Amino acid sequence: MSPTAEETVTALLAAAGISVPDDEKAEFVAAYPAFRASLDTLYEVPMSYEEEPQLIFSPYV
Amino acid sequence: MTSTAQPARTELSAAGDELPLTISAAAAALRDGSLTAVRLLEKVTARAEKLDTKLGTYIIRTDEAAKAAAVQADEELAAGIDKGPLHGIPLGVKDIIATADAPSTAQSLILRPEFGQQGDAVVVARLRAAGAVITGKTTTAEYAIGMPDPSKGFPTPRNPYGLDYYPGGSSSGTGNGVAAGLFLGGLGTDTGGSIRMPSSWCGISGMKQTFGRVPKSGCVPLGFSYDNIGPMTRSARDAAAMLAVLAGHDESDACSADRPVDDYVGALTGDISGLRIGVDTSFLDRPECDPDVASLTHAALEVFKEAGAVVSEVSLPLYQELSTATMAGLQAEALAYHRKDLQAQWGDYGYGTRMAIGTAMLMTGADYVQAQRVRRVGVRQMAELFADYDILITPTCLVPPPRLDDLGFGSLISSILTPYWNAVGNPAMSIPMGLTSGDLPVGLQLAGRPFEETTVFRAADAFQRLTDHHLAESPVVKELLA
Repeated sequence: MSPTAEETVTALLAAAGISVPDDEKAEFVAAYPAFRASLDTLYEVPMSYEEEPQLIFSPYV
Repeated sequence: MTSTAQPARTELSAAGDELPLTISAAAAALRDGSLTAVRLLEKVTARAEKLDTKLGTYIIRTDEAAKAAAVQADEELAAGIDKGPLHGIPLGVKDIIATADAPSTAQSLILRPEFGQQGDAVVVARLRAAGAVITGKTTTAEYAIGMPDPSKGFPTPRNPYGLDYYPGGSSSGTGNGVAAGLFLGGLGTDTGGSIRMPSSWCGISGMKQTFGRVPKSGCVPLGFSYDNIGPMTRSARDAAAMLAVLAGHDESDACSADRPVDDYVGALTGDISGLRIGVDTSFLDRPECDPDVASLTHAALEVFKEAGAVVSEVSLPLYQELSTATMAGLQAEALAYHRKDLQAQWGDYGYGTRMAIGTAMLMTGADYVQAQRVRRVGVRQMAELFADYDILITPTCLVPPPRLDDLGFGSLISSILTPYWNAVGNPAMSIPMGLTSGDLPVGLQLAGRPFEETTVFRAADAFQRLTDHHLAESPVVKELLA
């Protein structure tokens, strides 16, 4: 069974080590499904498997 | 607001103090002997005395340093030393950019005081070297993100066209200060629209140039790969004059582009015949689009057509995905910067700031990387689109300024069309396109190819030679000055 938005948000906040008041946590829980859905659309953009991120590492300072 | 055939017109305020409205007008007056830099500073300072408590423009003014700079400018000009169009011109600096003569707060209780002790940011040093008179540090959304939060003890910036309305952010004080004549230009920063949104809603011109064109060292970062410092002024010509000073490589910024700086002012010929303009009018059909924004956009497009541009319909590729790539990406980059402080001082951040940055806790590392891959796809598709167009146009925002008591970060972001351009890095500028039926300003957004700011400025300047929206003065400001 998939975790609920509240379970996921609780885990992610804990992983970040950030404590927030209950009312603000409730806002994150309410916003999470739409935010997750918008992030998921990024994986639907047609691109090759080998597409590089726009940020490229440089060995120079 | 009318369309006028001749560009020649008065650029002096009608508010009674005869303040030059533009940098260009002030620069001319400083050279024909009708004005001195000291007198000009006195005029804008007098406005600040009357207006700042109402508008919330400044965090701190630097009156003594400004006076010294103005005296020096007068002495230099009298001696035949002319440092260019910014010489003797009063400018404001957003308070996330370091200056040697004032602390920096980022309008936050969190920022380490040491940040403000590093001396002038590169951009500020360049403005001073060009003879500019820095008048002080201007209000911002905390750390350039979020909403005004009066509980933290900082001024609440207000719209010069209606004090109950939001001036836009995050470069709020620079925006309302230019519009109200507390200085003639200033520095804003733009990570998702923070120059263009307040420019639109204060009725001024603001340029987010190509990413990397202006060094951003000495500025508190928000989104490292999205941040820009840029000019906010009344006219496109003034913005071009400022960018000519600000642009150019500096090795202190890892993102700084090492390529020549074009002659932005010299490109302002007024001639846009044959310029290929693409416009995505689908935004105007969205239910959230204000009818006045739609009609003013159509009217603006007619001006471009009359000037000889070829205007045709386009569809902006990956609009929603690239907007998400900006917002999620900048929030993730901001969280990396703020995480330790959020862990220790969550409640000391303003509500809007902590919720906006905190949203990035809900992302994964893969999400961030995928946003950067989408940006690369977007850059490629944008290059293909710009093979057929020179300029792409949308409104800057779909709605007029909202009321301060009706602000929400989510609704605000969904009503602005600016974050898209931060994902791909192209130059994008907001210019005034008139007032709504409620007498509130709205702006038109012009985007160009990377490092082709000259084309954007040329189109914007041609529009402003045929209209006078950028010279409008707020009735509210005039009444407060009376």
